[in-house]
Amino acid sequence: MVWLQYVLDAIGTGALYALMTLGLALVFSVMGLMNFAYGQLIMIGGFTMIMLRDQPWFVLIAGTILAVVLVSVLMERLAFRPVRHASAMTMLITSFALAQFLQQAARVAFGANPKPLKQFDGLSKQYELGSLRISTMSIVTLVVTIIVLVSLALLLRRTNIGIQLRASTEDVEMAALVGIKSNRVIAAAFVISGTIAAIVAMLFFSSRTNVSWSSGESIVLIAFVGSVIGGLGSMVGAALGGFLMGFVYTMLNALLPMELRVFADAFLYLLVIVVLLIRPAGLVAAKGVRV
Amino acid sequence: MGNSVSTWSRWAWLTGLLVAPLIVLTVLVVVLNDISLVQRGATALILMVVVIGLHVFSGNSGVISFGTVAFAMIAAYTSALITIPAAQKPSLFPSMPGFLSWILDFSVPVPLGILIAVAFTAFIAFLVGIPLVRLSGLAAGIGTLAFLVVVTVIVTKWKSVTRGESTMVGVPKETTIWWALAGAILAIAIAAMYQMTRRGRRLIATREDDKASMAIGISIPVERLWGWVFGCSIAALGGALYGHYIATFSASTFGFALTFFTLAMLVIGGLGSLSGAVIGVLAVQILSEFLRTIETQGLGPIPQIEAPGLTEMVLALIMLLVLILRPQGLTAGREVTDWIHRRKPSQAPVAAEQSDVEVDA
Amino acid sequence: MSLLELRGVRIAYGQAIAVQGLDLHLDEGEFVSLIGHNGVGKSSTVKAISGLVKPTAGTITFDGQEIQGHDPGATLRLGVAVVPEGRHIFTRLTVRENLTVGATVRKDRAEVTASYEEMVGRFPVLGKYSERMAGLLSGGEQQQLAIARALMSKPKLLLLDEPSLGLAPQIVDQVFELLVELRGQGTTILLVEQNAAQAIRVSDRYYLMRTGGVIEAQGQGGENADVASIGSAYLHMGKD
Repeated sequence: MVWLQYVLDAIGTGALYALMTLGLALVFSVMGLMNFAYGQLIMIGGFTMIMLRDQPWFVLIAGTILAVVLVSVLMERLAFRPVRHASAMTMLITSFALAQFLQQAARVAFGANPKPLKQFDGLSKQYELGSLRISTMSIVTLVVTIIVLVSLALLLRRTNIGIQLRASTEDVEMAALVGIKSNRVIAAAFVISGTIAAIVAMLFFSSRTNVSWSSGESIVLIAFVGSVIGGLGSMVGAALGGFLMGFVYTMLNALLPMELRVFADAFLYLLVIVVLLIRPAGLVAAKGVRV
Repeated sequence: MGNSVSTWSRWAWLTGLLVAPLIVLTVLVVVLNDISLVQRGATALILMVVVIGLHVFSGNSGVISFGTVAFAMIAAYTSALITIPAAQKPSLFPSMPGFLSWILDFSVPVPLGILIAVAFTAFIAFLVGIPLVRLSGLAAGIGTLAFLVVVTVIVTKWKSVTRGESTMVGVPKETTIWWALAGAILAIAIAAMYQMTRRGRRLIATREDDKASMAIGISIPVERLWGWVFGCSIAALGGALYGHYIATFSASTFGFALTFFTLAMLVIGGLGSLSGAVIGVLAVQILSEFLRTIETQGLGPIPQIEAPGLTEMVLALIMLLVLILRPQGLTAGREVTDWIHRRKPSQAPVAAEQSDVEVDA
Repeated sequence: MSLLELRGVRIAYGQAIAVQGLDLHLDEGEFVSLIGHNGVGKSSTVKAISGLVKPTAGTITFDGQEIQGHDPGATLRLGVAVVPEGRHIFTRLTVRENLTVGATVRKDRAEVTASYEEMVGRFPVLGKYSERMAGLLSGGEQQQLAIARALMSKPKLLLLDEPSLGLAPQIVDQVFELLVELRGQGTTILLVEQNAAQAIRVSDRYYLMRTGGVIEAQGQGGENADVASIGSAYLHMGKD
């Protein structure tokens, strides 16, 4: 029965990571760029939440989304567009440098100490289901994730920009030949990606007590890895990969014997290396995706 | 016959041109007898060793590695473990696991310790490299990053052997600026030799055109493994030297921050060029000195801006600007000897000595 | 004045010269074939016209405007639609979505639905599978889809690169019949093909290209064209 409790906890974490990974994978499928600075988008979301903490909840949500999307779009326009056609290595290092810059800029701007967040007491309630506990947070995360996934699916299937996005992720050259404007499509991807980052930030920081300049760095690592495992270029694969990472991580933490538990991170990343070696095809097989 | 003469002379020129200013600067710094200057000089030289290690693999292969610094970490810890005086060990490592308890019984002189540490780390680099060199591009970035995380986690959690997140203490503080200089000279000499001889040029060929190089019989994983082992060993040397320089360190000393720093130096100096690695280190060191002075005391008309992270932020911004506006960096991938001999960037040696490669294949 | 004119076009990829100096032209309403072996420079020519590749020298004039170096979207907006080699249909989009996306550059959104109906009328099999993933269609059906998608943009010039590649002979016949029909309805067509004999038979004119993008021969096409003599020239050309 204890098993089931772990599984329940893991599902909540998995859903959050699935969302995060989706945001990352969207940008990757459209321009072959792995955005290391995605974690900083989440961090900015957190700081925005602090600045808007006394506002009504809908202002808080709208404001956070707006702020993060703005930074996301600026990121693309200023840092990534100039290197769009550069080598994979240059793009990777550029996003790494951008991540550092944003992180250190936040440190300079907000100081080295973590800033406290307002707590939403309603969210830490727990429900009993027989001998199992589910926290409100898990439920909210799961529900929000499903809503976002469905909305994204609708966006991709029913709107013009969605169709253009899907065409571009599959075959960038052919998309150009039918007149799809890559600037527009990429900007759209960054807007969607930013919106998802804002939502992830709100979910993530709702159960935390503070935000600091280094927030977002470690969780985004898990998202990278999740998207690589899930197979880049595929939205479903990314979500699955992210979910798996979050889920496995939580389960490892719960199930490993005491002495080995502290090495949970190491196990996870070793697993990642193994998967990368066995199936780098996840990276190359997707059409139109550059490695 | 004619070829080997010219290779040696080119090697001598490149090494000489890069090493000479370093010797001059070091002598200058020592003569000025300013302790903090000596400190910064030594740090710069040691960092240079690590950056050269990064260049030897990533610069020559065109494959990014975020994990090279992990080997600096491993070497530093290994050297520390075998050089800390035996008398001090029991109190520092109260719960050293049984199968490693022989470490507590002895200690070696630091030079030997560094040597053993580098050899050991080279071996690990070899083992780890076998799978990792099969990765390219993004996969390599993620894979090597994952490796860095794995090593960091092991070092920070294996308390009994590494003192976990507490700093390593009791490490003999023996590295002097002269040792650092020697390390830098050695690194430059080896790196220059590697990229000028057949082995290194084969790796460079895979960077320029992987399909063409496969067509002439070059095995990409094999060449990358050579570069990986050489590069990570050099980085290991830097790590070990650093460990004995600062004498107290922890995993975070060799983590993300160092990875970023060394990468920034390489990018700003110019990817793919050994001269770029050297120049990049010097340029970034001077810049960060400048910035740190502003942070701590202000400089001339600029008031003190006390803001932790300012140096890193400006450095990241400059790195970004370089990548966006001049991705080839300061040297544009050329060596200082190219300017002298008026030669095109590193492609030329491969094309000119194609016959060597064919014969070898 | 010609609808499409290439003058002195030179295409190089780094040191490799694919097309040395090409002159050709196409008048409105014509069906012209560009034939030659694999690797002589035909595809590079198509890429240069469509805008995927910028010629290192020379001009490409379409409808009075110079289009060399323009990006593909701009060229499409002027009226040049491409059916690329390998078809490149979007396998993860439905048939309907493929067609809709072909009309991306059209400003008259309301008319796009009418065009869609027209395509479905002309290519019944597309109507039948309109909601199916395009990747599930057969080779011949995909070729029809690729052509229909190009037509959705109401182009002045239809540029086809090796449409017969990878298709069974009966399907190839159907494709060529389709092209003849389109020609009959007034579409200007530039067909790039390895399948020389069939291409020449359906064309008004042809250009025979050899390595380096050099025009070896040109002449009148049609049913009565002297395919035999062209044929021997074609065979003897090989890849020099």
